[in-house]
Amino acid sequence: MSFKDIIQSDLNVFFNLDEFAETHTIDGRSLNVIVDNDRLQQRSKKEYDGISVGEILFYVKASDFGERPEQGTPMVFDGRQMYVFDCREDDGVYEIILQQNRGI
Amino acid sequence: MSTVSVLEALKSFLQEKISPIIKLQKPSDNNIHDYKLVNPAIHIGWIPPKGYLPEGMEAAIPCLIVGLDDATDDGQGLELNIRISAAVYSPGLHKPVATGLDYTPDFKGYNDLLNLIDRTVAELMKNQIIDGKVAIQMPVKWGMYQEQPYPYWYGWITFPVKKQTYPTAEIARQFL
Repeated sequence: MSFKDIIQSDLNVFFNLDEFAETHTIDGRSLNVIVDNDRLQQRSKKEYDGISVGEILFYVKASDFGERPEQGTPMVFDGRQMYVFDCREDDGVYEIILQQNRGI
Repeated sequence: MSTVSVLEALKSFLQEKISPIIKLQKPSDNNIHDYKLVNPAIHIGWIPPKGYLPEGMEAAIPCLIVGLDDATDDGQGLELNIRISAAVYSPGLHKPVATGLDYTPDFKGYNDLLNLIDRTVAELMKNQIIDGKVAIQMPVKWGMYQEQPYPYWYGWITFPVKKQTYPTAEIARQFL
């Protein structure tokens, strides 16, 4: 078994619903992702009266998600219309930060 | 007529002439499939935060916000530069299908924004004297902001209005 295979088998543990992962609906697809709640935040957007910004950071297996999303791509996360603020790939896992402009 | 009275006269005018004639999407930040149209609200100054909405107002946005950029009094006349900001929520296309509504995000919300702005400008041009006291001056300008907080869209209308000058001091009237 190669090192990559070992990492992949570890990913299956991390993204197991009995361990860390939860099922969320992303653009109409049910995917097992790990949401990092520590990074959830909401702040006021000073430039626009009446708008605040919410953020979600989550991890998803690249093989489950598919093509890496580009910055600015709209994405519906559990019914919330958001857009990709940042996406990084590390060892077959995407770390995706979504942002949402919300009414205050 | 005080500055506040001018802003209130414009607010009443927009409430009468614009709010009833156009419906726009009510924001649904937590469920994009929850689609509802509402008449735009009219605010003075700023958008009120949640919990401070006037009774009966369903949503703070879509809206028109009547504001003051600045004012000058040269002794002959008093001019106020008015800024009406427009804010709409328009994330994409909700298309009726057999099972309900099919939603596709797009970046065409500027259409809704410009429709609201156009109708407002048209009414201002048709009614240049408001409440018998506020005289709208030319030029009326409008535009959109370069960056937009999608799915919200923001634009503006500016124009000067004239009102009666404040009374000057007696000594100033005699010697200046």
